Amino acid sequence: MKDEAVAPGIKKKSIKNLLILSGILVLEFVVLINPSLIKEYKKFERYLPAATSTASVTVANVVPVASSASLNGESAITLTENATKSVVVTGTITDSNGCADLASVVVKVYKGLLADCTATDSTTCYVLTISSPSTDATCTGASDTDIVLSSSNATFNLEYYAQADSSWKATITPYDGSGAGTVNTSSGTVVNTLTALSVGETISYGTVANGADSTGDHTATVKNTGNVAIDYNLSAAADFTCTTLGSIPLGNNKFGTASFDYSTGGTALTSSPQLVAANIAAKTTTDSTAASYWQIAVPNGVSGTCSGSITFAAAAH
Amino acid sequence: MNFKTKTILLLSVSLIFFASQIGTALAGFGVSPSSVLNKNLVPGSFYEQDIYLVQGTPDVDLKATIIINAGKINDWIKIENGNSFIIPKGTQQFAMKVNVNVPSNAELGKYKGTIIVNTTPIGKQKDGVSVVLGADVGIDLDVTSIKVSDFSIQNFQIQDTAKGSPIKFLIKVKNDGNVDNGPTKVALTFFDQYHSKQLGQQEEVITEKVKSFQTKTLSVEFPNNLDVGSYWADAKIYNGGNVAVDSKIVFNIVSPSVVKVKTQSKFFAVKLPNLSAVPFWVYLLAAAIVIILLLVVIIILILRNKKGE
Repeated sequence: MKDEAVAPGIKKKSIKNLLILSGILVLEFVVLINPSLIKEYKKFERYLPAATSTASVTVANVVPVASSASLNGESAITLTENATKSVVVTGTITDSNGCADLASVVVKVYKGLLADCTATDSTTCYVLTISSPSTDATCTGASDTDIVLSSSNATFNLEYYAQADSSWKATITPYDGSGAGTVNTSSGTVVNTLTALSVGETISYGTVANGADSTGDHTATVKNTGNVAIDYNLSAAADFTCTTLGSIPLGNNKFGTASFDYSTGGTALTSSPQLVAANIAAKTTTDSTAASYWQIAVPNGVSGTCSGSITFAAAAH
Repeated sequence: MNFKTKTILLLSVSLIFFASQIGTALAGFGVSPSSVLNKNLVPGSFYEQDIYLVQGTPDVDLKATIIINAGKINDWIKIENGNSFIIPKGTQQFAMKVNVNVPSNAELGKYKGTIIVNTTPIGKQKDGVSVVLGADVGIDLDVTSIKVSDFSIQNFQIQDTAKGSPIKFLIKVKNDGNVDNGPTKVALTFFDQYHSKQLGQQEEVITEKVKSFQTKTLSVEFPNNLDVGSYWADAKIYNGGNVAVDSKIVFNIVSPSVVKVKTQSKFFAVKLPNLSAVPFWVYLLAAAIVIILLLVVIIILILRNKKGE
């Protein structure tokens, strides 16, 4: 009976001891393989003297460093007329105190001097701020010391009128609680010239009688949708054909850069391109346009609805 | 009915109609860059340049027709895409490849001309007077006898490298000169991840050259005796005796069995713990503690069994 009374007590104690030991084992494993503690150990080790006898250390702040800045892979940038073009800045920001120690990262894409690029102006300067680097997808925890710039966090939409030049650069400036760290600047990228225009899809002469000239102003507005000043060439490939009878010679179309009467002004359209030296500047803040004026003479012997096409071709001024 | 009456009647019924669409949509078109430009050609040179045909709103297929208007050098210039091709709907930037073949007996001098690009929307014919668009690409070529050495380093990097594998230093070189050229040497000074402790220095000579007017990525390999971890490298790229580039870069040595993925896509932005960075004595201590604890457990169980008997 005595043996039977003692056995359960021993059993309970053994189970308790086993639980405690298991807990110790688990703790050992957690301490040994937790990567964040390994990282802290590494940081700690850095500040230890060769032969130390003190247990008190102060982890100094290390300034963040940007490196490997690159704009569009340093390949030339081709803009898209009347639209934006996405370009990516790549690079690395390293903070030995951990990426969560970064306060912000400012990335600038600019032409010319960094000092002149303070706020986005679309022609020469684009600014992007990563205001919370610790939440960036590439900052993966306390043990992580860097964030990586890529299309997910450093994409810029360059406007079609960003100025053409070979001196476009990207500069990465990291900040921590102590201020700006070490900046890094890409080597230089070309933004290509873009010669482009847009014009309304049709020119309306209205209704004109046989043997008569059109009257009033018939205009087509030419908009510069590139980043260099442009002129434009005008031509037509063929005479205008009419649905019921005959055709209108393409030379019966006349154009000008100001309002004119068919009988006294204008320049006759030809099949070979004729340059209109309009010198339409590239956009800076507002659209840059020029009006093109048109008149037509309808001969006798044609009838119906007449159709044709006129080519507007952009040319660098 | 006399002739006069017939004429009046004809005029009264023959009114010509043109499209009367107010506020029609804008169509746009352009070329970038604006010219085929090379000032360093020599007789026998081959030069290739992409001219992008761009549209902000490419909502229909577009037929492009090319006319080369360059006088006596017309034969030098070929459009790799042909002189008529389709730009598919949805393509904002279409690369038109322009090849310039300078004959070996070409006269030295300056040559100019124009490549005329005209377009026609397919299946978008309108009644009345339609506007179709085009753009001119300038041709601006110089043929010279002067040898020009002119290359630029567009970028360089060290990819993440498996421990024990050679460190690959990649340099993208653009050769704008008319002779084969490129950097001659790379020197790397390795530092720890804090850039505080120098770990070593290595130099490698580059023998490969980039052909004239070409862009190529050169790969230079360095022996790797670094452990797994993050490192800095101070890189100097030489052009002869001159330092063309002097910069710092970060790179990683990874375990051969571990793929560290920290790339552009946030979906794959994971970072695995670097267990191999732990000193060996820590593993030994851990193993010893575990063995001692196991022994204690075994002893307790044996004692318990003896008491039970």
